Order: sequence, then structure tokens, then C-alpha cells
Amino acid sequence: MRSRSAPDHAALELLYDLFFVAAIVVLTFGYSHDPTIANLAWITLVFTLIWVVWVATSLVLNILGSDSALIRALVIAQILLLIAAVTAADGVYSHTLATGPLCSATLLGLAGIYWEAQRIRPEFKSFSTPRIWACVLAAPVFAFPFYSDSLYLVFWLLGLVILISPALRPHPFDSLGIDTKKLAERLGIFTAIVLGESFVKIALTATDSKLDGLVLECLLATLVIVLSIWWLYFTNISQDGESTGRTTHRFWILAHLPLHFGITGIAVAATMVILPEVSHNADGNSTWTLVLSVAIVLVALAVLKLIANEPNSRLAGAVFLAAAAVALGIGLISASQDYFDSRLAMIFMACLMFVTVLSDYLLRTSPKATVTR
Amino acid sequence: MSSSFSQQSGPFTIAGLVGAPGPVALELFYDLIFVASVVVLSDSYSHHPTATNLVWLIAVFVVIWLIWMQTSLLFNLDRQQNNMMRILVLGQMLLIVLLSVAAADDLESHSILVGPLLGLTLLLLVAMLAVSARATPEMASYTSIRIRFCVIGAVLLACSPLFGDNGYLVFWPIACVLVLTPSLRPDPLGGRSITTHHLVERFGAFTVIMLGETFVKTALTATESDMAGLSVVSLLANFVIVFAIWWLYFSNAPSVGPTAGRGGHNTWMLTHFPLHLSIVGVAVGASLATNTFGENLPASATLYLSVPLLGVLLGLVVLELLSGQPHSTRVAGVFLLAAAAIPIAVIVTVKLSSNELRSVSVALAAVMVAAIFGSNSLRRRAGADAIA
Repeated sequence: MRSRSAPDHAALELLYDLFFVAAIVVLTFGYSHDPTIANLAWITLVFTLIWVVWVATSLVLNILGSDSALIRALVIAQILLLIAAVTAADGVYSHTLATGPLCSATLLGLAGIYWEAQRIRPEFKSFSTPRIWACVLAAPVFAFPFYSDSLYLVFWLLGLVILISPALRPHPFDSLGIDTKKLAERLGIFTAIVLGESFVKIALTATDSKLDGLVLECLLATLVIVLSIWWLYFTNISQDGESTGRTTHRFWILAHLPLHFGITGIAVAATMVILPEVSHNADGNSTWTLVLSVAIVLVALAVLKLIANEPNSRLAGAVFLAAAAVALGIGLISASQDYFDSRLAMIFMACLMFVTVLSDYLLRTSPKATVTR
Repeated sequence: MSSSFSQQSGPFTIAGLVGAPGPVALELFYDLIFVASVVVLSDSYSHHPTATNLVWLIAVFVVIWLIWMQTSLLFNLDRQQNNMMRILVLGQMLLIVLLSVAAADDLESHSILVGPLLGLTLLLLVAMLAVSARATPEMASYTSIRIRFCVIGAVLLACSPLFGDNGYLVFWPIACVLVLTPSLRPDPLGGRSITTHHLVERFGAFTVIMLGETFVKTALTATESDMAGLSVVSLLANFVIVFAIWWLYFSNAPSVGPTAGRGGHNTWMLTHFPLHLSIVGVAVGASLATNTFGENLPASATLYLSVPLLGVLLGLVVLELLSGQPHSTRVAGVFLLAAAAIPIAVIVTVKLSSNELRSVSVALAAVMVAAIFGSNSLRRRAGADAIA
């Protein structure tokens, strides 16, 4: 038995992950109800910003291995700012007014985390100093609330490039003592939460109608797609996390961005297909949102598999890429054939994902793979 | 949480290298789906907060929670999950999503579908118990009695719609008692021993997921209105309340867990039921307080937030006492004081303020922060005494 006066950092990390994913889910409701290109661009930018902040904070906590009272306070402040930012994201034309400054404050909080980390571990300085500068420089870009309707796209993109730029510098992660297993675990938990929250989104949309008024086969097909992604990810992720090496590290982490974005896209598409009257959009729009999201997820899984560099990686990666190609093919057929609507596309996607799971399973359990292992 | 995940069955258990996801990935996903279904259920109540809907919500929550608890207990006692077990768990998740969507419909129609869906979910638990007994013969004494009771419970749940809209009020409690009965025997685990740290971890994960979903619920309700129309003060106060619950729970419960013995484990597990139900209630109250439509609610609406918070604090009192630490009585005393301060804060705020719900959420946030400071100072002092 042991006693302590504050929750341990693992409990904080799980709460942090949950709030970040929840913020993403809340954000996507805007696009589900108004699926326009302008909203898509907005969601993509805010999603990427949130994701980068999450990865950066997780990396710092990983390298430190523990936290201090100040880091804890800054992480909690980050959660609070995030809540306010996503709640403020009302519409694409008004949201930059409040969300921009709130995102900016989040970046300044991240700079504070880096600063405190290098105070605790001085050898961390070469890693954190350029990142502190990146956060400080990117913050005003997001803070300025008076961009015109589309000009913010350019400036926010610039802000993101500034923010990410330190990660492009050559810096060996190994020298920082990063715990790759822990990092893999954090990304795994984050992925599981994204998948779980997609259920929340779909089920909450479904409650707008009675069960007998829903397209039940689409609801079931969505569940099959989400469960398949869960199965494929957790079956194929390496036990030791990513392979060592700076470039591989970077690609391995970055491959999760399209994966998480794709899963969120599937949840958005599912709400559009299950209850089309809620989103007021064209059927083709739902189909393409679904098809592209599934393809993105499959490509991301293929990249993760290839980076894992296991004996069956190439073959499994090829299966995932082939499935992505089939998904896009289904999208093209759907665009040219009137009878092929979004509901049919949803069922085809579920079948495709199921077949992919089955193929992957057969590959892993084949006698040749077993002998190699 | 994640740090102790890695202590169980190898250095890292999120991944599976046997052609299927590992147990931790499955359990985390399972918890997420169950909590998601509770959020969906409570969303229906938020929009129609009537006494009938409240009873319905609690009834569905009880059954779902018991199924979750029994499944978690099975995973705890039998860590060998084969593909059949995984498929059954995934099937349970599918049914839970369906029944939460069905349960959110109006009372007249939902009882027709929800009862049978719950019965089916319980039958999948029966199948899991059978698979476990077949794969691990030592589990037979644990599973056989549960299989019998759960089958009868499932039939009762499934048949409840045949007896009208209110049939569930009679049949569901009997089914719940049947599901719980095997745990009340002198040897509830059939000679098996529970892995305490895993049990504590599962309940901790479920609690933190519930708290996270509270935010989803509040934020989603908030997005129904423009930022200008929201009560930002309430949003902040509710964040403080949720965060305070998280702090109070995780400062003690996961590190200490239940005291050993059948009574300790059972009481510890069952105490989480009112705690989780109260957290759902806090989410409902918080979403009402955050939106401007809260201003039009009667003064009694303050109960939506204060009563669940009272439930949370009382749950924490029991958990603290069960931990059996030297300073537990004093910390529990602090929680009891905070619980006693809640009705006083509500009465004073309602008398003084024009916007009751918003002011109450601020007053309750202050009470929770005081509880954190009080309990922390006691724990620190106890720690210093122990070192001395």
C-alpha cells in the first residue's frame, strides 16, 4: 500500500488524451452539419494544430518520465483552453475570432512546458529551445483575429509550418532517452480513444432519430469498419513501438496524423449517411468523405506496417494498399452510377474492411509466417 | 494507468503479437464503448428531464453497469482471451451501441427493443463464461453458477416488454439481483483469486473515461448554442468540478484499492456504481448549467448538479474508508464536510442569486476545490508522519 497526495502522471495522461480526442469529436460536429470545403479546411487546420500540440506534450512527458507541479498545471491549463477553443468554434466565419487567440494561448502554454522541462533536465535544452521559439513565433499568427474569410487559411498554415519546423532539424531522439514502448502505448491509447469517440459521435447522431427510422444496415456497417480498424491497428503495431532511428521515429509518429484524421473522417461520413437530413448535403459528398477517409486510414496502416519492418510487413502493407485502391475504385464507381448511393458504399466499405482483416489474419497465421516468427 | 498496464502480462500489452489485439487494447476499447453508450443515454435525459425518463435512465444504466462489471471480473480472473472470446466481446459492444440508441427513443417504444437487446447482451456474457470454462477448466466452479443465473436474468430482461411499458420496473430489478447473487456466496470467486491491481486499474480507467465523456457531453450541448450565448463562467466552474472529482479519486483509490477479502472487494466494486451514476448526473447538470437555456429553468434545477455531486462525495467517502489507511477516517471526514456544505451552498446561492444554476455551479466548484486542499493537506501530513 502506498499513499500520495496527488494523482500520478499516468492518470493525468489518460485524462489529457480523453479531453483531446473529445475536443476533436466536438469540432467535427460543425463539419457534419455543414460539410463545405471552407469547413473542411478549417477542421483540417485545427485538427492538425491540436494533434501537434498533443504529440509535443506527450513527447516531453515521455522524455521527462515524470512531471512537476508546474508542468501538471500547464497541462491542465492546456485542457481548459482546448475546451474553450472547441466550444468557441461556432461557424467558419466567426470562429477565428475566439478560437485563434485560444489556440495561441495553448501554444504559449506548450512553450511553458518546454521551458520547465529544460529547467528540470538541462541536457534537454538543445531539443526544447528551438521548440520554445517556434511556439512563441507561431502564437501571434494564430492570435490575430481579423483575417478575412479565406486569408486565415494561409496564415494558419504558416503558423503550423513554424510550429512543426523544429522537428525537421536533425536531432537524434535516442540521445534524449525517449521511451519508445511508452510512446507506442500512448499513441495506441490515443488511437483506441479516437475509435471509441467515433462511436459516441455516430450514436449521438443516431439518437436524433428513432431506431426504426435509421438505416440500420449502415449503422452496423459503420461499426464493422471501426472495429476492423481497431483490429488491424492493434494486431499490426509492433510490441516494441517503432524502430529506432530519427527518421523512422518521425515518420512513425507522423503516420498517426492521417490515421487519426481518417478515423474521424469515417465518423463524420457515417453520421452523414445514417442521418442525411442532419447534414443537408448531397449524397455524393457523403460517399467521397467515407471513401477517402477509409483510403487514408488504410494507407496510414500500410505505412505503419512497413515502418515496423517485420517479416510479413511488405505483404501486409501491400494488402492494405490494395484495399485502399479498391476503396477509391468504389468511390469512382459510385460517382458514375446513380444506383450506387452512399448507403451501398458504406456496406461495400464494411465488406472491404472485413476482407482486409481476414486477409491480414490469414497472412499472420499462415505456416510460413509462424515459422519466421 | 498506462504505467501499470505494462506490469501485467509482459513489458507492453497494448500490442498483440498473436494475430489479434492484446487484452489491454480490448479492455480499453470495451470501456470506451460502454461509457459512450451511457453518454448517449444521458443525452436523451438532458433534453427531456422528466421523472419517468430518470427512472428509465437509471434502470438501463444499472443493467449495463452490471454487465460491464461481470465481464471485467471475468477478464480479471481469466487473462487468456482467445478469438471466440474477442468476437463475443465485440458482439457485446455492437449490442450496447444499438441498445443505447434504442433506449434514447421515447419510453413507449424503447422498452420493446431495449429489454430483448439487454437480454441478448447478457446471453453473450453467458457465452463468454462458457468459453472461459472450456478453455480453462479451473474456471468451471466460478462460471457454472453464473451461467445459470445469467440465463434466467436474460430471459427476464428479454420478456419484460410482454408485460407493458412498465414491465421493466418489475423484471429488471429481479434480473439484476440474479446477476449479482453469485457474488454474494461465501466463496464468490469459486476458489480463484482476483488480481487486485488489474481490478483497480479497470475501475480507474472506467472512471476517468466517464469524466472525459462528461466534457464531451457538456461541450456538445454547448455547441448547440453560439459562444456568446453560453455561460462561460459555468463552463469553467463545471470544468473545475470534473477536474476536482478526478483529483480526489485518483489521489487515493487507484494506488490503494480495496482492502483484501470478499467483503472489501465486493463493497469496493459496488461503491463505484453510485459514483459512476453520479458522474453521469454531474454531466447532465453541467450541460444544463452551461447553456443559456439554464436560465429559464426553475430553482429546483439546481438539484441536477448538486444531488449528483453529493452522490460523488459520498461514494468517495466509502472508497476512502475501504482503503483502510491510517489517515482515511480524517480524509473521509473532509469529504463528508464537503458533502454537508453542498446543500448549504445551494440554499444560500438560490436565496442570493438571480441565476441560480450558474451561481450554484460556481459555489460547488469552490466546495470541491476546498475538499482538494483539505484532503491533500491531510495526506501530506500523514506522509510526513510516516517518514518521521
